[in-house]
Amino acid sequence: MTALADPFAASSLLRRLQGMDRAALEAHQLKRVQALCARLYAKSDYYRERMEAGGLAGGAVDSLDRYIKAMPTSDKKAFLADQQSRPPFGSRLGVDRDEVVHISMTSGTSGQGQEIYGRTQRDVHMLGYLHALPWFMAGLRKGDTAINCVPAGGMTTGGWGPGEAIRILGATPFHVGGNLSTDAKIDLMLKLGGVHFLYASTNYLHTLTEALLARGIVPREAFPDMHGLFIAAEGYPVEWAKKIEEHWGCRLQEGYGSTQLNGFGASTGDAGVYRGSDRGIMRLFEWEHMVEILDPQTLAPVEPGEVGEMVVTNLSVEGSPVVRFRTGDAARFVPWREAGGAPWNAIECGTIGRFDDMMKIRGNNVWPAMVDAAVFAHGEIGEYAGRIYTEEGKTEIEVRIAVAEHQAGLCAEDRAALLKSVRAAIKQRTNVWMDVREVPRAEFSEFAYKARRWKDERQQGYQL
Amino acid sequence: MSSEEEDRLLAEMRALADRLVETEDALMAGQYAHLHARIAALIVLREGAKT
Repeated sequence: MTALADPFAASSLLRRLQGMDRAALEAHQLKRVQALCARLYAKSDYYRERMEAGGLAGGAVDSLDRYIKAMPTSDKKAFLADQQSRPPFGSRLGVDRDEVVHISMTSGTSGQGQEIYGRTQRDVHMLGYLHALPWFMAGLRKGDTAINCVPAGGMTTGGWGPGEAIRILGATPFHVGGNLSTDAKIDLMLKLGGVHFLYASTNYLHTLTEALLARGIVPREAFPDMHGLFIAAEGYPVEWAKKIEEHWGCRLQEGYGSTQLNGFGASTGDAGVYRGSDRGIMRLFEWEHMVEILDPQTLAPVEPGEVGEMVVTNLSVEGSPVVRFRTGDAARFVPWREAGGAPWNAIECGTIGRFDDMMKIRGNNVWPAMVDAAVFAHGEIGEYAGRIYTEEGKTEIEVRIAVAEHQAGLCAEDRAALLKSVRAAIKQRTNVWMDVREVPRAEFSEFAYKARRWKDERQQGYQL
Repeated sequence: MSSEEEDRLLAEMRALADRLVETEDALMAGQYAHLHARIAALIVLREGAKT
């Protein structure tokens, strides 16, 4: 496997950031928080009210500790209410309306509504930079050909960030997401005469790899110049990541990003997503965002190794900045001292989940990512879906799995053993026995970019 | 600001950007090239009014 060029050797900016001590980093954060609060106190009714309620008179902040204790958190519900009272941006915009040249909206998959963020010219550059930064660390360079499998454009941060990022790194983008079928993407990639970098959701990288193998194409042979794969959005097992690297012959990196972060807020850098048999870590870009990892009930910081909710403050966003925003995203906290060099805290790879995705099943807290990890540890499986329902007053869980197309030759005996193994792996990771059955791969053809694998139909079973 | 003054400032900015694009920082190089190209485009689009 080709070793990546050291990104820190190639950038004096990154070396300077890496060489800061924790005190210097926190001094930088405080300076940015002070400027942010002063500006928002003057320009945003929404944040001014919050600062006054918390006791930050005039928006003055004298320490990060004081900021964390005094500044109230915000959440999606509060943002949506603000937007409703002052459409379209609410009173949290923080810049003059005519400074807004770009908007980002959340996808609305929560069912609560879509947050809207107004961005300035500077924000648009930062949107690109906050995608370019992790991709540069992952090896993307000027002159490379980059395949972006995420749908481009539209009104989402993830739609515009990749195009801006690849452009400002000087690479050549092919934005194939959303406008070409998987087979058409493969045909195009084969014609390009060299592909160096690929960005996709976890689920889509899986789908693409499976489709290549089903056509008898070995990715590492078809794309020998590929030196970086980058995923985001969904969890996966370490075994899957190792298989992906084996198929493609290059390193797999991961990033954590969101609309609220105006791009990525953490990545594996060039370190890969695993260390031996353990999961790797994503270092937080703490000079661009403050990220607190808190117990969602008490809002106290979680201990190292514990899972908490990420609460984010933008340090470099002008339009619609988030200030102590409760993301609902769940991550395992790795403190900077345990992360290996540089003063940046970290989160565990491959296990980012949503607190609102948590399913209470027979008294156990189960996240979809746990079942993802159990199922996709079996390389024979192409896709799966889960359903929780009530039957005769009892909670039942059905997991439908489909064998990958390139594994279609599995005999009946092997298929039965596979079902048994998946069932045991799910029990081991979740403490819940689930019924596992096989269905045709075609049942999951709608799963393309962000997989929605679980349905909770328990309430329907309670109808009288 | 006069039109001539705008032309002069853009020429100065391009000269400065010429130096920035020589950076050895590979993370910044593309961003400086982007900045340089923006300035160059502004100079080019104004040239039509000079002929």
